[in-house]
Amino acid sequence: MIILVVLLPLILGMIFLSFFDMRKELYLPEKIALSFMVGLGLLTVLMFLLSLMRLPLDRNTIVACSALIAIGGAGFLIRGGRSPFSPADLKIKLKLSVIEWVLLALIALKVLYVFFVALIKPVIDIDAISMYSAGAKAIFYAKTFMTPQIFSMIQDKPLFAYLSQAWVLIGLGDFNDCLIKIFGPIIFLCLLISFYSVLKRSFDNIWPAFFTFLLSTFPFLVFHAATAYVDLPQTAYYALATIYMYAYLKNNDKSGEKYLGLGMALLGLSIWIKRGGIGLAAINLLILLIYSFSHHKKKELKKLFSPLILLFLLSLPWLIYNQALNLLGSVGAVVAGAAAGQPAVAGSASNIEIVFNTLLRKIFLYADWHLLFVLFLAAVILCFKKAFRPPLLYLLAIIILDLTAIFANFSFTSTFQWILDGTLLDRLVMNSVPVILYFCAEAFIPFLQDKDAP
Amino acid sequence: MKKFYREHHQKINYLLVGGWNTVFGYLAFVALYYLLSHRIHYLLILFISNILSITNAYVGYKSFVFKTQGNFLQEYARFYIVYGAALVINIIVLPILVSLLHVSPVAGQALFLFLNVIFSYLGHKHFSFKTLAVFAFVAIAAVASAQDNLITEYYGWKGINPQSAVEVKGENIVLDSTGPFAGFFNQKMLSVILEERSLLTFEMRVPEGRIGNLFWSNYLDPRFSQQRSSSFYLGRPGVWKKYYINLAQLEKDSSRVDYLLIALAQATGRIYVRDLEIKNGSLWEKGLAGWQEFIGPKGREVMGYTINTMPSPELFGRPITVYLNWAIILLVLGSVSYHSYLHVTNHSSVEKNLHQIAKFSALSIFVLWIALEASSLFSNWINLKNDLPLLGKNIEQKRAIVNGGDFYAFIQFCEKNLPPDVTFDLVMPQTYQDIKAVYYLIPRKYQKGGEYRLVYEGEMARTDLAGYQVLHEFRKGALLYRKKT
Repeated sequence: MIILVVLLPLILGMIFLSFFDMRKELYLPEKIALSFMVGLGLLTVLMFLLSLMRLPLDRNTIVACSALIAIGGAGFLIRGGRSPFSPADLKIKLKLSVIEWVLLALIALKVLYVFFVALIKPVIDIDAISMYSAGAKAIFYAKTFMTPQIFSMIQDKPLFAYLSQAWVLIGLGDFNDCLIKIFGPIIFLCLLISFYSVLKRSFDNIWPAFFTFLLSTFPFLVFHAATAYVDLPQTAYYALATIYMYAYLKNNDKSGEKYLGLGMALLGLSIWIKRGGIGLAAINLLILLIYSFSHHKKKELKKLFSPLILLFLLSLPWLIYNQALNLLGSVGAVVAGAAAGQPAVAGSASNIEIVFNTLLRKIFLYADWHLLFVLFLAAVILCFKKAFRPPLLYLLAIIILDLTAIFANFSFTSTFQWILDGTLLDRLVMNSVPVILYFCAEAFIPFLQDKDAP
Repeated sequence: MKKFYREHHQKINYLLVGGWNTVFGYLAFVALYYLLSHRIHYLLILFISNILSITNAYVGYKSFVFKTQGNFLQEYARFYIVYGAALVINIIVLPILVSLLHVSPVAGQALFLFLNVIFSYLGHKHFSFKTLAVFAFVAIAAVASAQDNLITEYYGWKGINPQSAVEVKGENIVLDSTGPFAGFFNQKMLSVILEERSLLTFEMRVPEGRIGNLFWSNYLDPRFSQQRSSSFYLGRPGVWKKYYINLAQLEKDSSRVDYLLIALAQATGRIYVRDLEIKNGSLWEKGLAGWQEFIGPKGREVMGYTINTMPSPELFGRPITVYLNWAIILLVLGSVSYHSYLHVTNHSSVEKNLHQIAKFSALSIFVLWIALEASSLFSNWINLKNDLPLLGKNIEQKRAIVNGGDFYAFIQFCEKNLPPDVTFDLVMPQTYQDIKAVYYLIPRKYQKGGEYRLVYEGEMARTDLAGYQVLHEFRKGALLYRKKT
């Protein structure tokens, strides 16, 4: 049954990805990795819709509905002559240098470690239990997320973690709190594969493998890949959405547009994972609009139409269902606060200082990210010509806005309380970490690969 | 201006004396080079000029910058270690500049001097003129030191819980522990001044357990706290292992230690401790303390909020990343100075130099990153070892192991006796057990004042049980109640 649990999202994702017609634009392992990630997100949306329609979230219903969608989608694809794969996929190219093999072996070792540590033991992290796994177990028994007991567990949090973990239990037909974590290691693997593939398309040397190795070493990322927590999926979906969006900014042609579509799909699905996903998506959209306005304007804006529709189609069900209500509630609270003469937010110089110090200490002195932020600083300072010119400038702007948003969130809102016990900051920084590493790769590889390259 | 000088006089004096030393050292090298280069190799000239400049620098720094009263020979010897390290680097770098890059020895030495100033300031500030030797990388020569064996009845060693008995038997402290936590502390003050003695050493033999903790405090604030503690991995069961803890480097707030507490989790049985001492300690022993600290549980084991943050392993009381960041800064500065020199002498293009600096900097960071990753792999290995006992167990057995004690057996007992559609309430004083109970007992619903009440280790909550009657008893202190009808 575990095969069904993994295979169903994979098939859904493959059908969906085929609509982008990216036979030549993606490598085979990358197609599989992205199919899984997109498919898992779609499965979550499907389960949400089924529950809204009062259909029971059991194995038969989910498999039957998925099969219907898959068959319908496949029909469209066959009529249009599209498939997710190309004949070129069958030609296996393994021309790698010895160093690349060594690096890939080290990455494989880390991935095996993550799978082992995740699957050998039940969920033990208390936050993972109380926030997500308990909710998933309740959905498994209730066959819906719409009961008062489950509402009290979920509150206003997006549903990805609950529904994806519930799907594991529903697919297995049993409460297994070891296998409930299976998507963490798989998403970690998908992130590594996609990261490597994107870099490999730009740089055909050992450095893509090396930077992917660096990505596999972050202790905090590795730790989260083996828990049933929600920050790793958020990181993977958001980071890949940003990296594929950057592929469009870098290469504004037909294939670039396909990458943009893929990026927007991942960005739309990332909104289902954490509330913070909305803010991150807004930052990416802002940069995308700035890019489009600064390039040919009308023509560029037209190109955005389909990807943005896709983004909204994927995210709107959740936004309408939950976030709009929250927004109204928040606006109401702000208006009420203003009427009473109270400031909407409270920030002070001492808060800013504490947040700034903590942020610097956490990113430079903790084990979470090894030497990533030193590398990032070096990239910005030493590769300033590349870093401050488009297209890399757009990626830099996204990173700076992401970090500024974290800083502002802690400094000027009640989130400040969480900085003192250190429960949130590192997890928020994690969302941008693969993007920062990708930025470093883009900045440094031209210097590293060629002796005379400027 | 005066205020500025008062606040920064040490750095200003250092710059002045350093400037003079640099000029003196360089002139000594140049003079000797022009006098002797046709007779002896330039590296030998470098060596001789270094002896002259080290002696000159020692006098200057001692008299005008650090103004210490320390032992002349000891300081001079330490001074050589700092300069010796610089000399070793100089001996490596100068031939590279001369042979590979075809720079003249005189010009090459000028380039090297820039780096040397930065390196030696850090070295002297933290090592040569510090009364306490805090660095211990290489020197093995043990220094005879004052010692004080603390295993006497005078200090009144006592167990941390009533179940454990502590006795001083000959040269050993013997602790019989029956509970899950064991430990002992002294009741009479030790009065240890850390400037005089700072290295705590002891040997311990434990029947089981993985991690031990040392806490310390003083009469001003006698509470034991996480801030004043150091953790260490325990040796194999039944085997003596020696532990080294450098209190001077871990203690940031105070200069004295009066009370010690050695505590062990999950170690029941008879525990022996011998040779418990606080002494001056040799460089070698302080090096061992640093090594045990680095490979110890801090930054490797899941403690508290590790799901949200991961501290770095520490060395000499500081996160290991501090040293690496400094190393990177020095390497990048070195690369910048070298390429600036190339730009001035060879008129090489700025673009090309920037390219080389970026490349060198990235490669330096990668090398140190890989070193950090090696440390992470060690942490991964520890995790793996901890999880290996779960291999081959079924899901119920795994839950029982990860929850410890008989908590999960109690949950299974409740599952068997509770219908699936009922509400229940909990009396579980231990942190997080309530959350786990709610999770394991789904689809049964948790509700305050529910139909059933689960009591686990809940002696103190007996008063809450009015209106309930015992339905089943799992064992004493672990019962299932039902509302009286």
